[in-house]
Amino acid sequence: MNDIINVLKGVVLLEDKTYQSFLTAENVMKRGIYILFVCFLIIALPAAVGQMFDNIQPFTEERAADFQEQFFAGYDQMTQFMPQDEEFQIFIEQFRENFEYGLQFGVAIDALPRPLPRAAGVFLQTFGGWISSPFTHLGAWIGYAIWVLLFAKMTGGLGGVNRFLGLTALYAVPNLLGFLAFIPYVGGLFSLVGIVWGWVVYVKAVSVSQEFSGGKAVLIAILPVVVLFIVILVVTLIFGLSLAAVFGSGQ
Amino acid sequence: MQTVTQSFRLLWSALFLEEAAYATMSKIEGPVKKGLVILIILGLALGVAGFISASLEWASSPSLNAIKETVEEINQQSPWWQFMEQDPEALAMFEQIWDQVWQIVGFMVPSPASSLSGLIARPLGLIISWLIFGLVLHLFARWLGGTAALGQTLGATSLAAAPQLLGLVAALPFVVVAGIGVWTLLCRYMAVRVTHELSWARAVWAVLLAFLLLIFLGFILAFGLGILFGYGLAATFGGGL
Repeated sequence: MNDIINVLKGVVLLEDKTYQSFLTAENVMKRGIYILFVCFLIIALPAAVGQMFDNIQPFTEERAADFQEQFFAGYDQMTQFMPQDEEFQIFIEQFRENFEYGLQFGVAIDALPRPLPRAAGVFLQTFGGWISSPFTHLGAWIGYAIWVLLFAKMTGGLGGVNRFLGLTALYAVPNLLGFLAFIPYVGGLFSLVGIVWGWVVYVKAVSVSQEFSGGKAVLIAILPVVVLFIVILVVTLIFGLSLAAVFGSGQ
Repeated sequence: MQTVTQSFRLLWSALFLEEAAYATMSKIEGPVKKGLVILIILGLALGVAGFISASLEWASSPSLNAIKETVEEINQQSPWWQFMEQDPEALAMFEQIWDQVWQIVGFMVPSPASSLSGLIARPLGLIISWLIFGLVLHLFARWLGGTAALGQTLGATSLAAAPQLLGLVAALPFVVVAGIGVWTLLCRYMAVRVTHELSWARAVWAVLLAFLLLIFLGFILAFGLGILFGYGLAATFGGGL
């Protein structure tokens, strides 16, 4: 247990020794992915528990009314800046009516019998959602990592695929701060710090695994975002110019 | 039993891109047969996982018929339903479309009976994608200077299905597994690199070209089928409407 804590501490504090020993260890990718999974399971735990307590109670008419009241309190605040003409009022009325119908469906369907007790179903659903959480992060991480790896290799990176993936998976460690996201007012800030710190760990992992300088590692780690941004910009420009040409010549 | 254990051990190593697993498969005697066995075992395991998951999801949810009846009951109390009732023709058309929508939903909602087809469909799906991708990948690998035989390529690429192991977690109901597609490409990269002893850049090109070619062919096929479907519809309804 002490070893694990020391490794996690070394990762967060960007200690070279920790990164080097992690890189040269056996099964580096396996270890990295285990860490990623466990971290994101821990992060998602408070939300899953909260969701479980929330959903375990039947969705009665009283709960539906409360929900409607809360929803429209926010909705009214949001729409007060919109033009209040007759057309808009008709739209709002229709929206309210449909919303009420939706809630009626929800209440009636929630009361229907199921082969398993309702609580068991809620547990399975929440548990499934909780287990899915690390997979979402895994998908995003691996999808981004292949581009970073490709750019790293194209610019002289020396690390192998599994070592690169194992090391960059450590970005999940600072994200553990997201566990505190449930704290009112400041929880979101904790998450934000975790995300930014996670990026710093990612850059360090790129630097160590590919034997890059810090500056080059930063560049390579953000290059996929930059390329994506440029592609979107170019596509938008071409689309905009084409539209302008079509409508310009039409007039 | 030993074959099953050995297959899962190889897949587990391949999942974490360990070169030794791919090298073993490319050098083993009868790599195609071994690959086929691995994929059948994996496909069956995924089929069983799918059955368990679908059964538990089905047991945790109200029956579709009960939901349909409830929705209909509420609908029939609404003002727009009374408005619709004034035009029996429109109401009949609405009910026809309504029933069709629920039939489609019925196909999409998991049930123990429908998920049993996964026991055959999952292994077959894995085998088909393995053979097609393996063949195309082999062509590009040889073109880019690879030296391995087709059997070796197929043996090693059978292990590229390793990320499907994550799908076994989906035996738990309501679990959604992401990232399998990209991970599979990485495994294919590793398979072709090890088997054909290609440089990293050539291995990337081989996988990328095979992937893009198959996407392109898939698009052409979908387009062709779309045109055929359109002609079929036109022939059926063209004279009638």
